[in-house]
Amino acid sequence: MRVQIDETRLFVISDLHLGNPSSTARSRVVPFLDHALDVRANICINGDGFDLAQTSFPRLAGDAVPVLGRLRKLQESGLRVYYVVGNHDMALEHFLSDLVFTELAPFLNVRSGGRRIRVEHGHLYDPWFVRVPRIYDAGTKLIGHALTIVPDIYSTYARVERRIDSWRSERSGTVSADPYHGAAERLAERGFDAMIFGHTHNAETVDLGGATYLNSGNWMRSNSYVDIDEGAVSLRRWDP
Amino acid sequence: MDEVEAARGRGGLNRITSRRAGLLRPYGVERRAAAGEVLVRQGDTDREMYLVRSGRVQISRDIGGRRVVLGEIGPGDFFGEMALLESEPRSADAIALEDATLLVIGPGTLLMRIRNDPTLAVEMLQRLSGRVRSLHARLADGFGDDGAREFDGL
Repeated sequence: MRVQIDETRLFVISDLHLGNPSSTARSRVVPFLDHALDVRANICINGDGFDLAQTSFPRLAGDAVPVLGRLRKLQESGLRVYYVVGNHDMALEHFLSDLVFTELAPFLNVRSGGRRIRVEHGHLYDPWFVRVPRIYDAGTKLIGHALTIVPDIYSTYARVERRIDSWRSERSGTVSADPYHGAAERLAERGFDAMIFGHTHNAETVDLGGATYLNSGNWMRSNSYVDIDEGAVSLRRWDP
Repeated sequence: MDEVEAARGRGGLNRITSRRAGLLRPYGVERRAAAGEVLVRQGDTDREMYLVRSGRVQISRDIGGRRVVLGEIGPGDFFGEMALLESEPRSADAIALEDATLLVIGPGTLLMRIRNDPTLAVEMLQRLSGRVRSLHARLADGFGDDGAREFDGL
């Protein structure tokens, strides 16, 4: 397990949820990976690249093949492909580690341009996932069944999540009441210059006063990614 | 490709600037050291471990009246964990080679830190494992081929 890496250029994407009935990632991520090949950027899939928790197996098979093919092409060209495990793909851990073209890790400490950057999926800081894992798991599966019947429920779910988050922030008077921001602060105390999470599906950049928290968002219905370039870290949207 | 500054519509880059100093204590305290400052001394009985946030620190010890440098560490590395975990006196000196900032974690805050920052435990285990592997290799070298075979079986 290698968690310390040195990279000049790295694109971080997360939450593709390939195999999930709601995921439309495949059509966008394949040209995005071609773009990474063109600009010689290494790739990190920061968790939930594949979805076993809410999967449709025919969908997973259809989505995975072209994406894995592109990742292999990147690797054959000399680029590196990293895979950070999330909560929807934990069961795929052994399968993924056998794919020789990915380096699998629970998190990555990236050194780039003299800066230290943590890349981590972030589910460890999800209060529901940590405190009531069985309820979380049951809820995830239940939503998975609903998604199979009505895939667009995801959009409604995402809107409700955003509303709840905004309400919580307004009520507390500070955005740092968010558990992910708090977790990023703990890492900043250890000297990391930037922390990149996924999991929440909400792309954002937060200045922690001397360090920066970024969330790479999702590719289920969106196309945001984090670009690490010689230590500079920025949240971008893929627009082919 | 446009830079996304706040995809959640919060109107630009969010800022958090005021909480960190106040909340640092339950998870450890910050310490600044000037170049040349002795951070821990061999034989001392204090129990904190140190995480290096910036700067470089030299680890050395006195062996039979001779100063032996064991290594230099930098941002992301830690030292002093043996005294914390085993409640034994410090086994080496740690001296700041340049101005440094450190996070000091005591026995009472270690679990709180790991609970809220669980990957620290993995990083500690990984580094301790690396040290054990390195010591095994050096021991095996010292034993020679026959000794190494015997050592492997321990």
